[in-house]
Amino acid sequence: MDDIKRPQQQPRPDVLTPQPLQAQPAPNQPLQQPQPLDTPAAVIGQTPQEQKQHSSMNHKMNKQTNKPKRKKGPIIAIILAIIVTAGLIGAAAYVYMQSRSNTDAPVATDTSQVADDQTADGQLEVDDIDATISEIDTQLGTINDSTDFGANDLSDSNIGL
Amino acid sequence: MNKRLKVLIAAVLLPLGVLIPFLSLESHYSTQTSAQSTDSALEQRKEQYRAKLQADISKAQQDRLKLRCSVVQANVKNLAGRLGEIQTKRTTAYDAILGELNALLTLLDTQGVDTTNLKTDVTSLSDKVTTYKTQMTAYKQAVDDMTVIDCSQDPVSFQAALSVARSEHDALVTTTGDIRTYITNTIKPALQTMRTQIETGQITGGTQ
Repeated sequence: MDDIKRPQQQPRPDVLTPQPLQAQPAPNQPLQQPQPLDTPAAVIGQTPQEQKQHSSMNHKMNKQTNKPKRKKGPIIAIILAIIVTAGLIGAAAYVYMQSRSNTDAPVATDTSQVADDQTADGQLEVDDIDATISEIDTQLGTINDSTDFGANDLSDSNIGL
Repeated sequence: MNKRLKVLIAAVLLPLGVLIPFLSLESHYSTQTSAQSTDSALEQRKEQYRAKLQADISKAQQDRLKLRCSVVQANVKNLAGRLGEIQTKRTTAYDAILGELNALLTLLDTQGVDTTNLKTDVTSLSDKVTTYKTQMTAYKQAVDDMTVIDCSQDPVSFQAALSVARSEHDALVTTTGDIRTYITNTIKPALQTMRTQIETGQITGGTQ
């Protein structure tokens, strides 16, 4: 066992032994909040290239922040629909009123026809009498005395007695 | 379970436990009472039919009726079904005629035409139609009763109802014939006369 001599192990230079992390003391000074880049003071201090970069960045951010505003779309659509519907209703009412006034007008102006009718009362009465006679004949035609009340309806033979 | 929920369920279910038996009993007894009233009305009519019966029914007639009861009632049921349609159709026709005549009378009155005679005729027709309605109702009632009266148990009442039905039938034949004749021979000529008078200027609307 002793003839084998192992070389003395020496610590490798490249292997690092773990060192316990030393808690670094907190900085005494409070962390400074980053200054907004678009304040007038900051813009003045910027080079033109930085200003361009910032403005393009601001533009992109504005685009992103504007996205939620698209929720107003349905509201606008609803308002538009209401306006269109109200317009259609108004148009329909206008057309109706126009047509009504057109139909009313001849009745109002057709006094000569009414006068003619009044002078032709006799003819109207004759026509009414004719219509009444015709209606009586029609109604009498719908009933049949002989079949409705047959002579043998209740005879012994008819009812099976 | 929540105490409030239990109280709520109890408040709903307890009244139901009282209401359901009450309503079921009420419906049961109301059916019974309506059936009893129907029965009593039928009994009253049977008495009336028997009272109108002029001749006694012989034992042989009763036996014959008992023997053929089911066949007779089947035939009577057919007739009763047909009578309902006849009653509706005829009443509608008569009412339409009267309505038309009354409308014409109103129109002629507004035109100042003298309608005294026509009014009298229309009133007479209206009375005849009223008579028809009464007779038709009595006839149909008697026939309907014949479908209900158990002729195998009570042949006398059945025969009495049959007798009344025959009597009302004969009266109806007379009345309906009379109505048709009256319309044809009185109402229509009166209308024609009035038409001619208006046409020839003997009666002028709006001047009288």
